[in-house]
Amino acid sequence: MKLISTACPRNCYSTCSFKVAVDKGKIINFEPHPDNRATPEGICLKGLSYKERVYSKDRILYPMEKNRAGIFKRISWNSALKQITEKLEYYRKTAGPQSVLFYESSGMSGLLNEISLKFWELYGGATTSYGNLCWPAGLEASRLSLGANRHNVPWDLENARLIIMWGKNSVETNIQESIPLEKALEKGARLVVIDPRRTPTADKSHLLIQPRPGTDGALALGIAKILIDTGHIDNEFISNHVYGFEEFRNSLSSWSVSKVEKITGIPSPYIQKLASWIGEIQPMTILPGYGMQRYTNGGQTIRCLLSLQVITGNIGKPGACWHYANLQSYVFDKLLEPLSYYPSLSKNTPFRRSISKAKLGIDMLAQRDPELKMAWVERGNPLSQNPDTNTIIKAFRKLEFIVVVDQFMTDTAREASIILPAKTMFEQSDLIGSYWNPYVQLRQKLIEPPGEVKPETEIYRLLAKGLNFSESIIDTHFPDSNDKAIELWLKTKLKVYPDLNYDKLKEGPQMAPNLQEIAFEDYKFDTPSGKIELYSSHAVELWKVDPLPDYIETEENIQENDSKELFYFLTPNTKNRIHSQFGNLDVIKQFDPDPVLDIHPEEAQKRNIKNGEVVRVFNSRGELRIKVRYQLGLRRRCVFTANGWWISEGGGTNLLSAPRETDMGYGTAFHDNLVKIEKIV
Amino acid sequence: MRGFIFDTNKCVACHACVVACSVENDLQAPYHWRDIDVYNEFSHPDLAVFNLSLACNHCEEAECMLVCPANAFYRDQDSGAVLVNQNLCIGCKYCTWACAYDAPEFNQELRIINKCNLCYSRVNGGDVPACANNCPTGALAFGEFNSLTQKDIAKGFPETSFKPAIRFVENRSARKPETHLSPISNSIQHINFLNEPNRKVHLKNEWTLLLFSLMLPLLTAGLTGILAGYLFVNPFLFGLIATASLLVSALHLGKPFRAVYAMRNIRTSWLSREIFSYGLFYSSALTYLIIFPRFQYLGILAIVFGLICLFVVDRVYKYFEDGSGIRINSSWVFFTGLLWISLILQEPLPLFFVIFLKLSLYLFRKIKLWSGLKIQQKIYSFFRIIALLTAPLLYALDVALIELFYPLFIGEVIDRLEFYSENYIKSPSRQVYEEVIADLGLASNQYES
Repeated sequence: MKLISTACPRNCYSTCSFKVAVDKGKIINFEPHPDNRATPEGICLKGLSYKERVYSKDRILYPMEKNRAGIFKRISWNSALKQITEKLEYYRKTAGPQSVLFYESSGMSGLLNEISLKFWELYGGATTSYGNLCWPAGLEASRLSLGANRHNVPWDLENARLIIMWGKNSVETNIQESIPLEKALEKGARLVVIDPRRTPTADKSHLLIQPRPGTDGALALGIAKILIDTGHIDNEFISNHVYGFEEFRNSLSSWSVSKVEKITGIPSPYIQKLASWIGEIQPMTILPGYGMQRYTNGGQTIRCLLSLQVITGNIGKPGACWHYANLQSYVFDKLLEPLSYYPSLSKNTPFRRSISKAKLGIDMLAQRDPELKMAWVERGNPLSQNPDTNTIIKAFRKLEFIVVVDQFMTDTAREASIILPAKTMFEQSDLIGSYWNPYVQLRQKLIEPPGEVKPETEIYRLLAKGLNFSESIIDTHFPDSNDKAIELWLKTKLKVYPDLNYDKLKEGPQMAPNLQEIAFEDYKFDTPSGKIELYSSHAVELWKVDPLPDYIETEENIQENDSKELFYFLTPNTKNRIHSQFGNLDVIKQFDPDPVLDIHPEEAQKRNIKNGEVVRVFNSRGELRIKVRYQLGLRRRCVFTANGWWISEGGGTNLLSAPRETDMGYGTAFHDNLVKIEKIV
Repeated sequence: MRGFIFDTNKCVACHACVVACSVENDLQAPYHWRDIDVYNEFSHPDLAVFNLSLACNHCEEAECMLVCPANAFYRDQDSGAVLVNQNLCIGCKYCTWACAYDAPEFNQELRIINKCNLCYSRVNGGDVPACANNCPTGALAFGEFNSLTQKDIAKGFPETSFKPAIRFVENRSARKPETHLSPISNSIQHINFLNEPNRKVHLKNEWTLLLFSLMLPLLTAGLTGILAGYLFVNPFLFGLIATASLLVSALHLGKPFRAVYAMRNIRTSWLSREIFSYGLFYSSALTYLIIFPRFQYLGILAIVFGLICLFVVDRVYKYFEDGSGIRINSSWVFFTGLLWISLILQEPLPLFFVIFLKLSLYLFRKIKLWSGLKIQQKIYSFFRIIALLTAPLLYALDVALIELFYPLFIGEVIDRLEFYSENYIKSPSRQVYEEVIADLGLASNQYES
């Protein structure tokens, strides 16, 4: 039995290192990897569920074709590749390469993913998608203000005296952050959680602020006003490192505690209390979650929050940090997020046509000259994860040919003409970074792919051959899938960084080159002014928003006089899944068997809805039938269910969400989502 | 001493310990040996929320080990792990009643008990159990205890005399966050959101035991009646009923063909003693009735064995609680045995004494639990009480004593049915549930004052 180091490539903060016990080519067990200072104690239940995931009876192990009756039958690779090649040639010839949609998402990270895009470029182009479903508004807001997305190393959190989990439920979505959080609390730090739900993270807190969803910006501006009025700001820091403070201060003249109370629904004493803690307790780390910026005012909200970190001088010091995203380990990317999410501006590139991830369905349907004929989907499940599912289904069903590369029969895979089996993280080596911890890691190949699974690099190599790409092009861009060739390809990537040694990476995580353990400790900010920009003219040019952080209502909102039937539909993540992954496994289902809708019993009883009863949740975009669970910690007029359930499992929260982009960064504003709830008679 | 060390401050109920255990021990969901109980999982604003991750505590005085009729439990001396010999377990599930920590788990496919084995081979190799090895937040550890920093008990942890090998780091975070949401209105009763945990005893699973416990008092009294010359029963019919009762109770086992193992632990197991004493009753009664009907001392001996067995049966159920606060139940088979014996001997004084005893116990319990009963339970209770009251009434009206059997029998059936459907057994989820109720009561009193 061997114990081999690897790292988890899911779209998750923690990006844990761990060791895998492999015996006779089979995964047997997992061990923690103490060399990763951020995740030394162990991996989460999802990581541990990989054993089932790899060997699941439901895993797709062979190419499958949907027959006329709509049933998937196993076919040979030869037949699958021949059909796909023929279609690709046909559409390129008859409608042009842009009639093919190449859609990828965040299902598995790794540098080898760039080979996919290379293939489509060499094919002659394709329609691609811009933006991102997750975090761009906040990334853009932070980039506009600080010049980069960096934060202190995760273990620095224990140095904070005031910790504000602002819309972040780290206990579920970043479990290992609980280690430094607990250390800080042990040393007497205060924890504030701001969330309409009483989350498991809130259960650890001293103060829980539960604002009306989407109004966090107003809360932040109100507190900024109090801090400035009471002199609880760091004047020296501001004069040395902040651009636009005067304008910011002047813009706050219309703000008052009572106005904030009216907008957010938080009683004044609590606003005052939070403000006094922020003003008086140093150092402070704010950890904004990614949910708040998935509103139509998301980017500006994040700028409002960030202003509190800035005017109190809590940047560039131990325990003082704007803890949004730490892209310091993304050392191989030419273009860092969020800039990599921008659509191509050039008219002559192969990827001249790009459609919005946030508006995937309507954009797919709207394409003309050429219309979309075919789609290729990998590392993603747009039917369950992109907003406005019903339109996406319509758009997919209008296509003539769909290829989906996946491990399981997801909602999207069900729409495919041909499904190609996808590798798991244990079946091909790759390099990954993390947006939380500061490590570059090697995700090592541990086992041979089961069944007839081929890694995407191999699929593309075979397609390239089928499409008669020249041999030199194939050899340059498509590494053979044997272990040596992949290793060589990865080693070429590492050449830029002499400190990153492949053999060391095989042993465990390596610190990213040029890492700032305390982000911005040099007080250098890559902004036009070289300072932290409270006033950003770039924000105006790029996004036509106010140059200062400001508050505007989300597009979908509930005011006091609005119909009492409306609810904010909160659809955050749970510890049991990464978006739509893992929920299908028995080991996860034993804790989380079906979707539930949390509702405050007072709201439920007004509608005569009993605990455990199935209700209809609906709006103009769609409906869901879902079992109710009474939750007393929830803000009234809010209901909650975790996203990521497959439609085939009775979930599909995006059946109700709207196709809208955020105010900046090409993000997705699916949290602007009001619903009504009805008893099923 | 060593064992699990659990820090409630650090546990976030992430379930990684549960899955790490399942991976290590190759358990297929939904079976798992470790469980997490959440105190106040519906987030009542007056209470904190915290978690307890528990598996087997490998108690120094392991109750499972003492009560197993087949003596299937043993201790691995090096690690101290309490283990089950899968070749001996008869699947009677009695250990699942006895263990207040819900460690033994009945496997429906294997028809026997499985449980946490402390990853004893890891532990004996100098490692820690898989759950403690992979706790992402470091909340669960395994090692030598330290009485200075650790406690024997924690909120939500059932207290027993078993000397569980687990210690707790004091819960600093068991405080509720200060928040501003408007308080829960009085219209919300906690019955609306508080789900009662598994009672561990369900009538539909225990019907074989119900039949046996109804038959045994009748058989004992029947034999008394025959001996006294008040009752004439074909000895073979008696034998048939006695044999059927035995077979029916064997059906309750996961492994009925291993039933004979059930007498391997007469020294410490009430269940073993029950089966043994029933065996004595059965063999002596049949020998008397069929082979030596004139050898009356043998008959008397059989009745004594029957009474012993009745007494033992009630001991078997010692883990049952009904929430009334007293541990004597009106449906105890020993009382029922006395009831039928005095009835068949037509002795009004002992008869009415037993009726009075049963009625008092029954009324005490019902008055205590009345508000929590469902309407149909109240109706059954009403019939039960009428049945008991009718007997002296009919006697006063000169009805022959033996005729009282019918109403009394209906009452006894109701009471015994209730015994299996109203009782519950201690478990961590029960403990958490009861503490939440108690703490909420406390909190609402504070509000009123």
